[in-house]
Amino acid sequence: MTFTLTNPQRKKIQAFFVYLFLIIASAATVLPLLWMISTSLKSGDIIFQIPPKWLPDSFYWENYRRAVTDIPFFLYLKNTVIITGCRVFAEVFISALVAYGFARFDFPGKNIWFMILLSTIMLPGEITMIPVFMMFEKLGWINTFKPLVVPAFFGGQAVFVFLLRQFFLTIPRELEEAALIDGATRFQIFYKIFLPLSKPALITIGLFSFQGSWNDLLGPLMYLNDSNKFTLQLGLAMFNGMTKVEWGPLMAASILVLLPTLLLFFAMQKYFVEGISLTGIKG
Amino acid sequence: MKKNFLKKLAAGFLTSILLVGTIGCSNASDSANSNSSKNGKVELKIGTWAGAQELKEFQAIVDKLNKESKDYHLTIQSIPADYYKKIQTMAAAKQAPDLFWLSQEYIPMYAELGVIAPLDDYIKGNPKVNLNDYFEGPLQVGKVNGKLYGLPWINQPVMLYYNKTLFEKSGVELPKPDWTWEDFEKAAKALTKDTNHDGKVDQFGTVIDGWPPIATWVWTYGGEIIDKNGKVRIDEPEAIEGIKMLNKLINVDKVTPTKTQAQNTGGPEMFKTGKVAMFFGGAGDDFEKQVGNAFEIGMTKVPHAKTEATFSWIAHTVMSNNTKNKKVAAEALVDLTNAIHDWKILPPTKSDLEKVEKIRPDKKYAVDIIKESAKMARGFNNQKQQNELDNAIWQELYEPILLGKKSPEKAAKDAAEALRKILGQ
Repeated sequence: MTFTLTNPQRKKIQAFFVYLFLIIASAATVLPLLWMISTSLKSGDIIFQIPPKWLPDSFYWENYRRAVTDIPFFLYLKNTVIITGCRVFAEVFISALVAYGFARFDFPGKNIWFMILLSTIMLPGEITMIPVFMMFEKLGWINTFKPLVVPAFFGGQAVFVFLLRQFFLTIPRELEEAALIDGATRFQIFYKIFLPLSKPALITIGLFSFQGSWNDLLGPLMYLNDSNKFTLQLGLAMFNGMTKVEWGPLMAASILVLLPTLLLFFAMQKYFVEGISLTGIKG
Repeated sequence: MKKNFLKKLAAGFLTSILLVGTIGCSNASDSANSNSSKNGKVELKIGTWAGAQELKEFQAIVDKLNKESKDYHLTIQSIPADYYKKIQTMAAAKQAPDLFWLSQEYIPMYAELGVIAPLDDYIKGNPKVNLNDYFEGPLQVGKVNGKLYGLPWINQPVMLYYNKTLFEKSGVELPKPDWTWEDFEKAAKALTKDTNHDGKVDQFGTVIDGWPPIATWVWTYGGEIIDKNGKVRIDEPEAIEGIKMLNKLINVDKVTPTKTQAQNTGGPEMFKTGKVAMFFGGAGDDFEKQVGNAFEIGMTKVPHAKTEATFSWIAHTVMSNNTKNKKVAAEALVDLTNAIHDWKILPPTKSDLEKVEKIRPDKKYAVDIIKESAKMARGFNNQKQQNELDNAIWQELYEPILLGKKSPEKAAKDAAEALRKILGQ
C-alpha cells in the first residue's frame, strides 16, 4: 500500500521541520546568554551543579555588587566611553571622507593607493604588534589613550573605507553635478549630499566601529599600564584569573558591559538592517 | 538644517581633538618624573597577573611596603590578560616593568635573552633573604647557568583530593599518604561505575585529561623527562614504567572519562559535582569553598612507586635588566617576595610554611600532609625552549596516550626524538 500525502499535509510536515530546526538553532544561540544571566545570579557553589538549576532559589545579587566594586567599574566605563566615543566618530567620519576621495577623485596612483589600503586589512595584528608598540613608545604615547584613538583620525579603518567607497560609487553623479552648477564646493557635496544619503551605511559602520572599540581587549592591554586608565574589557579580564575564574562576578560584569551594545543595536536595528542590505555586510 | 549638521560635525571633531589633547597633556606630566619621585624614592613598577579581588589584596601589600621603605616606591602594573604577550612586547621595546611575576617555564628563556637580571650580587648581603630557608624545588627553577634569576613566591604542589563521601558510600578504603599507584588503581577501579544502570559509566575513579602533568608518573617511577644537565631521558626504562601506568589507568582500567567528556565539562567541575572520586589538584585550590556542604573533601599526597615526588606550580618575582637602580630594585624584590609569603599558599620557604593555616583556615584539615608534599615538590628542569618542549610532549606522548593511539614505548620514543630535535641533541 502506498501512502500519499495531500498537499496541505506535506506543507504541514515541511513547516514542522522548518520550525523544529529554527527552534533548535535559536535555542543554541540564546542558551549561552540565558546561562550567563542565570550564572550571574548564583552563588559560587551552585554554578556547576548538575543538573543545572536555571532559576536559583534565591537571587544572589552579591555578584553584581562585586562586579562594580571588585574593579572600579564606573571609572573603566568612563575610560571606555571616552575611547569608544572618539574612535567611533573618527572611524565613521574619516573613513567616509577617505572613501569619498577614492570614489570621486582622480589622482595619480589612485588604484595603487587603494590596493595598499586594502592590503592592510589582510595583515594580521600580531605581526605589526611589536613594531607598532615600539613606534608609539618612541612617540611617548604608551600609557595614554592616544595609540587607541589617534590612528582612527588618520584614515579610519580600511574595511570601512572600502565598504563606503563601494556605497558611494552607487550614488548617481547627476546629484553632485546639479550641486556643482548651484555653486557647491566638493566638501559641501560630501557633507550635504553623500553623508545624508548614506545614513544607513554610516550607522551600520558606526555600530561595527562601536562594537569593535567597546570589545577591544588587545589594544588597551598593550598600550595602557596604569590600572586607573583601563577599559571595561580589561576589567572583565581581571575576573578571569590565571589560577581561578570568578564565574559569578564575571558573568554579572559581562552583562553590565553587554548592555550598552545591546541597547544600541536595538535602537539602531531599523537602520542597521537597511545598511546591511545596502552595503552587503553583516556581523 | 544643513548648516546645523555641519556645526554638529565641526563641534564633534573639535571635542574629540580636545579630548585627545587633554589626555595627552595630563600624561606628559606624570611620565616626566618616572625615575624618582619627589621625596627621592626610586620609582619601581611591578608587573602582575593578579586581578579583581586578588589585585586589591596585592595593592594592600604594596601600600604597606611603600610606607615602610625609605628607598623605593612601588606601583602595580596590572596585566589582566595575555600576560606573556604583553610582557614580551614591552621587553622588546625595553619597557618591561622593573619587577614582574614569571611562571617557572619562562625563566630560562627570559634569562638567556637578557630580559631579566641575575640577583646573586644584589641579595648576597641582604639579611632579609636566607636562601637556605627556601625549599630546593622552587628555588632550583630560578637558576639558569648557575645564577639565580628570581625568588619564588609560590610553591603549589599537586595533591590528591578525594571525595570522602563518595568513598564511604562505596565502601572503599580512603586514600592514604603511603599509597602506591597500584593502590590508587584498585580504588579507582572500584569507584568507576554506572550508578543509574543505563549502561553508561557516570562515576569515575579519577580524571586525567592532559592534567596532571606526565611528570606525576615519570618522576614517581624514578624517571626523568629532561635531567638537570638538559639531557632527554624520557625514553629510559624508569620513565616508560611510569607512562605504562598512565596508559593502564586510561586505556585498560578506563577509570577516567574520555578526553572529550573531561574537556567538555572540565576536570575540576566533574570533581566538584561528585562525578569523579579523586582529583589531582594544586594544594592551594579552593575546592573546599566551592564544594561547600555538597560532600566532604579529603586530601593526601599523590601516589608513588619507587620514589615520592610531585610536580609543583612555581612562580618567581624577577627583575628586569632595564631597571635603572638594580640595587634598590633587588631590595624591593626581596621585601615584596617575603610579603607575598604571608599571602599566598604555599609559601616556598620552610619557616613560612607554618603560616599556611593562618593564611587559609579552610586548609586546616590537611596542613600536615601539605607540608610533607611541599618538601618533595619540584618544578621541571626548565629549558630555554620549555614551551616548545611542553608542546612536543603533549603532541607526541600525552595526547596519543589519552586517545589510545600509541603504545607507551612508542610514545616515549617519539617524544624523546622530538625533544632531542628541539634541544639539538
